[in-house]
Amino acid sequence: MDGEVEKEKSEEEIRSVGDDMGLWSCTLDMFQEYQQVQNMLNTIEVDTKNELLAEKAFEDLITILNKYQEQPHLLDPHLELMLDHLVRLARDPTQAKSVTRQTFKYLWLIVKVRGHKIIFKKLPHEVKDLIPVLELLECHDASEDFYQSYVLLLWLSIIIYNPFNMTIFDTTTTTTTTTAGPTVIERIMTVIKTHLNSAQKSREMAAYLAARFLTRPDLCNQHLPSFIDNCFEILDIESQTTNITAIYHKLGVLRSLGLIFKLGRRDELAGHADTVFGRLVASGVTSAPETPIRKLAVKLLQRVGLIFLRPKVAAWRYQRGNRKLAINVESGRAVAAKEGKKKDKEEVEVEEDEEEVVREVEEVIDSLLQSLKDKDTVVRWSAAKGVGRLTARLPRQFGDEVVGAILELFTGRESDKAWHGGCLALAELARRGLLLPERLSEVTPLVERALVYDELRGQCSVGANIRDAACYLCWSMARAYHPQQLAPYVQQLATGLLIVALFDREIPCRRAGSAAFQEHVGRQGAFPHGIEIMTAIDYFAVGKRTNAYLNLSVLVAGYPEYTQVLIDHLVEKKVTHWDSVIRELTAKALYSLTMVCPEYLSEKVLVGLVTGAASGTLATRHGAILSLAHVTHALSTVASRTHTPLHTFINDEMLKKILAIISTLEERQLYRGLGGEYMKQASAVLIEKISLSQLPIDDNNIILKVWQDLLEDCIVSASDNIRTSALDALASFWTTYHQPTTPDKVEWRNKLIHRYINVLHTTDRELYCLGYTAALGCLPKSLACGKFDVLLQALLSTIAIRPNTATWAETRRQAINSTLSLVTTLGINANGKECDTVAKDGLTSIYSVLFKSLDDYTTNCRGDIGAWVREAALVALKTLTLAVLKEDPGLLSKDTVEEMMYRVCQQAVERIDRTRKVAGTTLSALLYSSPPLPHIPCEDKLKAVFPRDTCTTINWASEKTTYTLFVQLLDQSQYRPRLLLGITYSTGGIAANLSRYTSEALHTYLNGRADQPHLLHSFWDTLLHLFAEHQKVDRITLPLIRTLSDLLMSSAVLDTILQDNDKAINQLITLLRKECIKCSDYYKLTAVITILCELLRLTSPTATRNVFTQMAIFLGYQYPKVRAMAATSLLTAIQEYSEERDLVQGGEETLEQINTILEDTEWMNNLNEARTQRNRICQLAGVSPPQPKMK
Amino acid sequence: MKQKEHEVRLLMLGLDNAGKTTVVKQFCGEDITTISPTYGFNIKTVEHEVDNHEYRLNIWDVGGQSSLRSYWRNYFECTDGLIWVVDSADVDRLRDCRQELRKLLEEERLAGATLLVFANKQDLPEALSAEQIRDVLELNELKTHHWYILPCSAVTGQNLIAGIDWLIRDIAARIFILE
Repeated sequence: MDGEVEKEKSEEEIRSVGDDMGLWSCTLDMFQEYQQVQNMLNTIEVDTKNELLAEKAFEDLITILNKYQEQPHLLDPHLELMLDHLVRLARDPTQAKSVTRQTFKYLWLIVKVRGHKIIFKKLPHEVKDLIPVLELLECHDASEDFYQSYVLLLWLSIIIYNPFNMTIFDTTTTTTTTTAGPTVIERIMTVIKTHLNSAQKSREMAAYLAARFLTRPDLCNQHLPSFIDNCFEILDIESQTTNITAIYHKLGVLRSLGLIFKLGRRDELAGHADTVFGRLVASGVTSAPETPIRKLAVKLLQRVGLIFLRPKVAAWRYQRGNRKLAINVESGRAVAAKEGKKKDKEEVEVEEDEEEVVREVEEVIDSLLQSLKDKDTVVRWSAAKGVGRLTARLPRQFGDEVVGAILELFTGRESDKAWHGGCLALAELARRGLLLPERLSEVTPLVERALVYDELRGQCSVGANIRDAACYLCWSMARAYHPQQLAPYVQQLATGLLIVALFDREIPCRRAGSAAFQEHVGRQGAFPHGIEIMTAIDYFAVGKRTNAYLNLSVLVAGYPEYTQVLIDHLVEKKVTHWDSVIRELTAKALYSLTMVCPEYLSEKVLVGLVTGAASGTLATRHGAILSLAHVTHALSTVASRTHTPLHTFINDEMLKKILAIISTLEERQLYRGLGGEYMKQASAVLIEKISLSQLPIDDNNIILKVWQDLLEDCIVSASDNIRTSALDALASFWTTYHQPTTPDKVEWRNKLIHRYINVLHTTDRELYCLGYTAALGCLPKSLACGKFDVLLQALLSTIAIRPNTATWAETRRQAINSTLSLVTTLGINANGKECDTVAKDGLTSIYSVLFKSLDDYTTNCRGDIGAWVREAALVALKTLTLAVLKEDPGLLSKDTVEEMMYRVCQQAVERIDRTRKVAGTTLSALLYSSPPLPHIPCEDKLKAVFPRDTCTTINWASEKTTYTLFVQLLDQSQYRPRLLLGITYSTGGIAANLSRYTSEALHTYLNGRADQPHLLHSFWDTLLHLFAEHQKVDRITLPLIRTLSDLLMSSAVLDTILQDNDKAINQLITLLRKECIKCSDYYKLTAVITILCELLRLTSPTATRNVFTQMAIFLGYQYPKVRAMAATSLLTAIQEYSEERDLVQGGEETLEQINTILEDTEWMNNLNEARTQRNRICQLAGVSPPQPKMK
Repeated sequence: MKQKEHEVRLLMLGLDNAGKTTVVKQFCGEDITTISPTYGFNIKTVEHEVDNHEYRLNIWDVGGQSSLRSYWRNYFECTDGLIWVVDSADVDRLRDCRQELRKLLEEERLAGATLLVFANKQDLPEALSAEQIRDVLELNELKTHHWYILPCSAVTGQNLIAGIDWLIRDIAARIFILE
């Protein structure tokens, strides 16, 4: 569900961007890349010299031309030149094969983009091309190269379109060749047949060629019959044979036949129609398992049907009157009159003749009607079109029978497929004026039902396509009829369409409904308040479902014509809808609609909802309870607004029933199992709304106890939805029914709080702790007052990390939020009592707990879940501090503010974008608060780095912009430790982008301080200090070591302070050594080795020896990979730095020996062997080899 | 922009040497000094504006030699308008011309197509007038098609535009009125 909301949202965004800025447009206005394409065409000969270049060029052309796939006519002005050039290349037999191949690829691409029907006309059709093209097709290559055969077949189709007898080419060719081979006709037929079973699109071109060729006047008598025969031989092959080529072959021949019957002359094909129809039915392809075959079969079927009927415009069709068809109508009348006369004379003969025609057409139509129920949409569409076309040629009586047959599809017995097909067919008929106005009285009720067709089948629903098609039908009706004809049905159609546009579950249906409504408003003008409604529910507005349900519906319901029907629809269809999200939306929509006409709801709807709440069906029960809750709330609101007593809307009996619902459900044990989840959520909403409505309930009523128990059951639920509903309910429930006004109630309150706190301390289930923590946050002021000190203590102890609940980050976040909401509820008062309000001590402890929360780096399988806590703490710090400032800035001590600023800065440079954003926002809020926050350390510097403008515009989550700003604060010694802690954490992380920008920022900072060595020194010291402080804390040290190695390797700025600075270097080496004790983390060891080798560049002899000692440990390390890594790094370092520095006393010769050992030893293999070699190196380097510890 | 809107298919027929190709070339603004008999067919696409609407005309021009006439029917599909070109000076073959036109109009796939007759070659002194041509062709008896005859000259361009304008208006009134 979220996904859809997301989608709708993003569509909305795209639209608004597109509308406002004019930046987004999918339409192009001209063929911009023409020059570039022309150049590519001119360089074909060059490009094809290299296969890679040729492929690249083709890919480029694809990219360019594909942009025009949607508006290919933009290519038209340049088409001729492009084709000319390519055809010239294609014709030229002297060109290299690669050039020809590339040329045909380009041609194919142009055909693909512009469409073969257009290119067909543009290709040269001179007779002299016939034989060369044919020969190219016949040569072996062509049948293998798809592009070439595709284009050549198309080209041949126009060439053979010439008005010459095909036999004349044979005489001309036989004079040149001595042996009389097959005739041109035979050769073309062979070519067609070879390609007709291809798996590629050239099959379609072969079919096109076949149709063009065989419908030639000189061929259709001799060659067509045998071709048709051949086709059916293929179609007759058992459909069970799973041979894929057989399927392609069938597709090919079906397409050819279909095109032949489309392009051919009726009188010439009439002779074949019988046979084709008979054999088509016999072959069973109309019910083949493959959808594409069925689709082509249906196409062929309708075209054969058309052959039986004279093309004419049905004289009986409904006309809107402004078509100028004088001639057609006149001729139709003349014919009819003539026929009438004939009938009188030769009655028997004519009737017989007509009957014969009718019988076969009847069969075709029968088949098409069957295909309307096909399981695939494309087939149904094709059948619907066919029914439309055929009916246009039928006599009135028969045509009306077809309409009758279609109407029979709309019954409960027929499948949803039939409904869909029926809608499509009716729409086709309406468009053609064949759905006569007399039928509207039958059609309209069916349309109304189709518009709301929605059924749940197992896990999915059916009906969206039917509703969409029904909208299409309405749309075509709007275009077909005169307003007078539609007048009786306006109300039904208008409400039907509004219901779809406002309340359909699917976005395409809502849009279709809106479009059809617009069509009616525009063309018919008879819809009540059409224009006003249309402007409100336009195509885009209905895109967002919540908007349609909650805002647009209220607007439309404001027109009295629609109010009740909309409500009725919601109550009948949507309250009980199978999708729970729809049920929830419906309940909310009913709230607003109740405001529009409360009387109707209270009189007609309430009873039904109360009954529904006791229904045996889960969806009905859930929907009814939700709706009842919202309607009750709305009615009580109306009552209090109009100062009417509530019982005028909800009588006492009804009230009793509403209050009893939850107890009844409890008795029926309906809160158990999966369905119980829905019941809990709905009941929580019901309690909330009843509490908000302040329905009178007696204090001692058992109901209150039942409700309290139910809500407590809900707040520990695993489902977020139930939990939030219950928490919302608790707040209003307590406020309305548990005010501590009597001693009993106070006692009840004390027990409640005590019990809840007890759960926090004792439970070992996170959900319980989480739920009760959240519940405490919901306490209204009246209940919390007097108990705040206890509550605060309990909550704060929940925020702290305890060993056995270390992974309960979600609970800790909730505890922070609950604390914050209690603080907001009770307010801050420096002089107040600790048990009533937030006073000085409370404040201090809150701050100190929040600071500790910022060190929450809990991880589990979901990653850094501590981030939730840190973010909650950051938000809490901001809110709390701003609240304190409003009350009394004096409450904030210097220490608190300083600590807060350092920590917020640290969070603003850490790894997670989202956390940085929260921290950044907090920082800017603190920096520019009003009244201003006192004691901010280095306030001037901070404000200089982050001026007010920057704070409002900057994207705090962007690593690109924020780090360059924050590093400037490193100059400030107070901020430095925390900032460096955060920055190294990011730099040494594994996110490439983040560490790139942070390390860039660090380098820029250091390079800028190259002439201020004291700053560099402090920088270095702070780093080492942090290292020492967090020794062996992997979360901090690993990134820190990585940062160090990055700084040493890719910049020389630190060299100035490290060069021959034995103290600093030895300190680092010691830290590194300690870090590596018993370390098995490969990444950490690698980073350490890198640093050590890098140090060789800077060290004095004594420090060098230390490095060697440490490296010796790694060379003999127990992990082979570490040994190898150490050897390689050391070798590289020695080779690189030995020229500048004397690394060993023995000079070059010794170094040479060390190098040889490092190079020749197989470090990965044997540990003992490696250690022996390692010891030799130690000797050469003058350090004592490490001794393995005795165990 | 919708591309198929206002697209019209015209078929240009007539006896050989009636001047069909010359008319087409005039429409396209091409050189008309060297024209040889059309041995085959031509397809031309031009844009033309009538009553503030831009139309795209696909004109099919097919050779008129008697050997080719039996193939004319190959080009009938989807024809919106038929332009019949007559050599007004070729008195001897006018009977032949009437015969061919009559055969053509019986064709069911041309039912509904608008007919425009160009009485061509009016620039020649021996040319018959449009009225005479109309009578010879017995157009007044034609009830199945909208028709219109105009005297014209493909060489001078006289009346060519007027004729095409009438043709387009008639077709547009029939096809596009509801779109």
